[in-house]
This record gives sequence, C-alpha cells and structure tokens, in this order.
Amino acid sequence: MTTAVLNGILIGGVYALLALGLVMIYGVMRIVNLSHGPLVALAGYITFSICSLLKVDPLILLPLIGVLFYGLGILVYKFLLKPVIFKPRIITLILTMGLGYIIQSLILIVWGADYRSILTPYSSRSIIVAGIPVSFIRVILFLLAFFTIALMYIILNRTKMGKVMLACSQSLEGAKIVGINVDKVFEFTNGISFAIIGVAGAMVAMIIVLYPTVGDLFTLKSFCINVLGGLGSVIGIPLGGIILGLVESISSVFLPVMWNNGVAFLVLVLVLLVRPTGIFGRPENL
Amino acid sequence: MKIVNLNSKITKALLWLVLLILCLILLKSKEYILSIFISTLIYTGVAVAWDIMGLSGKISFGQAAFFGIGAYTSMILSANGVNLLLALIVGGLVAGFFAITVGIPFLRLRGPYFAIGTLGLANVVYILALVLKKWTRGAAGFALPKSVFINRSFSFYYILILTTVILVALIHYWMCYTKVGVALKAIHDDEDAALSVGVNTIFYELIAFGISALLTGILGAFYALYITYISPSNVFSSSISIGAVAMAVFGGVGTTIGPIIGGIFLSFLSEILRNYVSSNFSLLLYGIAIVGTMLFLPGGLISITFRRTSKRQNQEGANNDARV
Repeated sequence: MTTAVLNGILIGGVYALLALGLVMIYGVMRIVNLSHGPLVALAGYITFSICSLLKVDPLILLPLIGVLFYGLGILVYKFLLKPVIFKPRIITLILTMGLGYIIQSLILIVWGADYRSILTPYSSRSIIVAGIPVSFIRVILFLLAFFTIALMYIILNRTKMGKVMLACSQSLEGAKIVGINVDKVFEFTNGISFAIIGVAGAMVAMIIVLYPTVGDLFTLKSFCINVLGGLGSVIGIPLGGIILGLVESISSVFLPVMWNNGVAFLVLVLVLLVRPTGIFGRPENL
Repeated sequence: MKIVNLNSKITKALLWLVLLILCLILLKSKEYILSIFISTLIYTGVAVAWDIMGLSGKISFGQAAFFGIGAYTSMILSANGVNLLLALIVGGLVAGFFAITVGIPFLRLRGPYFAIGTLGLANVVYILALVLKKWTRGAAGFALPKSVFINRSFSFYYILILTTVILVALIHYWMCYTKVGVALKAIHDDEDAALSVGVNTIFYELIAFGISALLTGILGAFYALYITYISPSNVFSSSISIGAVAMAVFGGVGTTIGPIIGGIFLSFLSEILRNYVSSNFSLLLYGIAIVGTMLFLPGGLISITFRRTSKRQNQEGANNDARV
C-alpha cells in the first residue's frame, strides 16, 4: 500500500509537468489546447521510434525532443493558431480538436494500431527509499520533472520573457498598452509549452504502454489536474498532479484494472461539480 | 456561427435538390451504391442530431455514447423477438433518457469543460459496455441470432433510413423556430445574459440534449439492425463522435442544411478513402476538414451562401474574452 502511495506521488510529478504545458497555453493565450493529449502520444511514439532505431537510452533524448517540439510549437502557432486567436473561442476549441485528430490519425498511419512500449534495462527495477520499495524509473522521472518544473518557475518569475508572459496572462490589453509584442510572446509561449508537453510525453512513454488513442487519456488527465489545481493558476498544478497520481495509485489497489482510467474522469466530474475553480483557481478564469 | 434563416432561397433550393437526389438514388437499385448511401445517411443523421445540441453552442464530443446505447438496446430487444420498429424507438428512448439523466449534472459545464466531459463520458460508457458482459456480450460483440433474422432488401433499409433522416432534419428545422431554438440561440450567444433575463437554461439544454441523444440512439439502433452485428469498438467508436462534429462543422454548425451537406460530402469521401486507401485515413480526413474549415471558412460550407456582413459584425466574438 505504501508502495502504491509513493509510486502515485512520483508519477504525479510527471503528470504535473504534463499539465503545465496545457495551463501555460491557456493562461497566457486563453486557448484550450485540445490537441494536448495526441501531442503527448506523438512525443511518446517518436521517442519509441528513435530508441528502437538507434538503441539509445530515452533519457538522453529528452532535450532533443524538447527542441523538436519547441519548433513544432512555433510552427503550429504561426500557421494554425495565429489566424484564429482573436475569433470566438469556439473556433479555436474546434480547431485544436481537429488538430488533435490529425495527429492521432497520423500516429495510426505511421505506427499502426499495435501496442508499443519502451523498455530499458532499468524499466522494472525497484529501489528502496526509506525502507519502502518503489519503481526506480519513477524516481528518476520524478526528479527530472521536478527539475523541469522548477526551471519553468524560474523562467516565469525571474526572466524578462517570463514576466511578460505573466503580464499577458493577467491582462492582454494592459500588456499591449505597455508595448509588449504580444505576437512574439504567444509564439514563445506556444513553443515552450509544446516543448514541455514533448518532454513530458517522452517521460510518460517510459512508464505507460502506447496505443494510438492514448492521447484522449492524457487530455483527460491533464484537464483533471488543471481543474483540481485551478485553471490558469500555475501554483496549483504540482499539487493537482500529485493528488491525481495518488488517487489513481490507491484506487488501483482496490478496483479492477479497467477502472483505472475512469478514476481520472470521475475526479474531474466531481471537482467540476463541487468546486469548479479548483483549489487555487481565480473565479474569473473559469 | 449563426442559426441560418431558412427563408434564404439558396438554402431551400439546396434542401430540395438533396432530397431529390436521395430519392432518385433509390431508383438506381444497385445494391452496392445503396449500401454506401445507407451508411452515409446514418452518419449524416447523427451529424444533424448532434447539431441540435450544437445550436446551444455546447460542443459535445460524446455522441458515440448515445449511438451505442441505442444500438445495444435495440439489439438486445430484437434478440428477444421484439418488432423492428419498436426496437428502434425504444433504443432511441433509452439513449434519450440516459442523456437527460447524465445531463442534469453535466450541462452546468461550459465550453471546453463540457467538451472534455462528454469525451470522458463516451469513454466510460465504452468501458461499461466491455465490462457488463452478461448483457452486452463484451468485446466479442453481439450478433443478431439467426432465429430472429429476417431477410430484407437494401431498398427497404434505404427507405427506412431516408425517412428517419428526413425526420431528424425536420425536427432540427422545427426546433430552430420554436421557443426552444430561440432559447438555445440565446444560450449560444451568452449564457449569463440568457440566465439574467430569465431563460431556464438547464431546461432547454436538457431538451436539446435529450432529443439529440434520442435521435442518435434511433440511428444507432438502425445501424445495429441493419448490420446485424455490433461490438463496443464499432458502435462506441470515437470516430462516430468525431465524424458527427466534423460533418456538422464542415457543412455549417447551427443550420439544418449544413450537417446534411457536410455529412454527405465527408461520408462519401471517407467511404472512397476506405475502399481505395485505408480506413485509417478517414480520421485524418475529418481532422483536416475541421482544421481547414476553422481556418478558412468558420461558418462551414454553407456560409458561402451567406450575405457578406460588415467586418465589424464578425469581430464581435472577440470581445467576449472572458467567456467561451
């Protein structure tokens, strides 16, 4: 049981990183990126392919995936998001959903419907932390995720670009008035969010089995975390991630395996009905 | 996106043209062509039914749940000897009832939350279908037992589905002009404003949701009895939900003719793709249709016939930044 708890917390960290990409796009650009899940899956599949072909350790690939997805983010912003960003929300919503389907179908076409998983020599090793056995790989991924999230916080709070991003998330009009080049900010935000999504996807792929529609699951979980922590609030994300990780882990002890993913959905619905703004959310961001 | 005034001559002409073509197809009688059109009509019908909910501006990505519920209900009933027509109607009713039950908590959600919620709902129903093996025969699927199987011609099915889809379209058209339709449009424009003038949003949304589900359920029931074999991955497939959205969006959300032309167009294309390339491409097609439409023609195909309004009217949506 304690193993489950600890494992849950560890994967919660990775989930949090996953959700961070989603919340940054929403916070700064007010776009709900429904292609989030399929992007994660794409990152996982690409990592899988490169690992299989070149026989390298997936962890080494993480920076590469990050850069790759950063470029992808810039492209997606320039060609797909920029034209519709100031139109009614419903259009961007449907557009990102469509993009998600395109990515999902491309995954199906390129990689087929078989299940894929990334295996490394240390995939199933467990180590003892404070007398409790936990999955070794989760510890590593948690540390990496923690490091990346911390890095993001530093960027957001200490660098000029980060502060500008925060400014945009608070008031777009105000940002424009003080002369911020909103377009460049959006470009960077999208790029870096995609990069985070890519890295997180590569990380998750080391733990979870990949199949073409796994994207839906990631969208669901990320939304769940966002809602838990409060949409638009960057503070609530790690907390939300860990809570979801915990709930999933603990419930997998009591419930049959198939319900595992339904749990995220149940949590989402519960939170939306009981406290839609989440734990740290600001009401006007709903 | 707006609810089109169907007095537009072009739209009416189009509707009659489509109807005429569909009736003429019947005379062709070549079974292969009939079967393509039957499939097309089924999914077009789902698209129109989806659009009934789409009128309110709440995009549901879980249409497949109702389709599958209708399919399984009618299958179970038919296997126990129930009349075809009755099975269809009851299938729809069960789906509609389910929607209303689920809708009461769900319809409080807005925009992206509602969308994700319905997506999750469809997934949960899919899992349920796999788990409740005693009734649904699980992943192996449910085939209509030979004892109750009646051999009917393709023409019969074609007439049946055509009538059903015409009915769905009529209901959609009718709804646009009644109090419900006006209320939905108000909700679409601004839910809070509608609430503040006393529109009982939940009530009208439930009606729309329920009717949309009911009609989708009937279509699912038809599918089950036509193909005589269903399985969870068939009828709860997300491509049904996605297809419905793509077709309605591509043709024009909020209109009656929109989902119809969108549906016929996309279904046709995906059938051709499936026969000559691979079935994986239809999802790609739907995705590209959605993205392309949103980028270049947000009102859908039918918006080509709209009168050009001034640019200012088109920017009004941008000011609603605080809300979806």
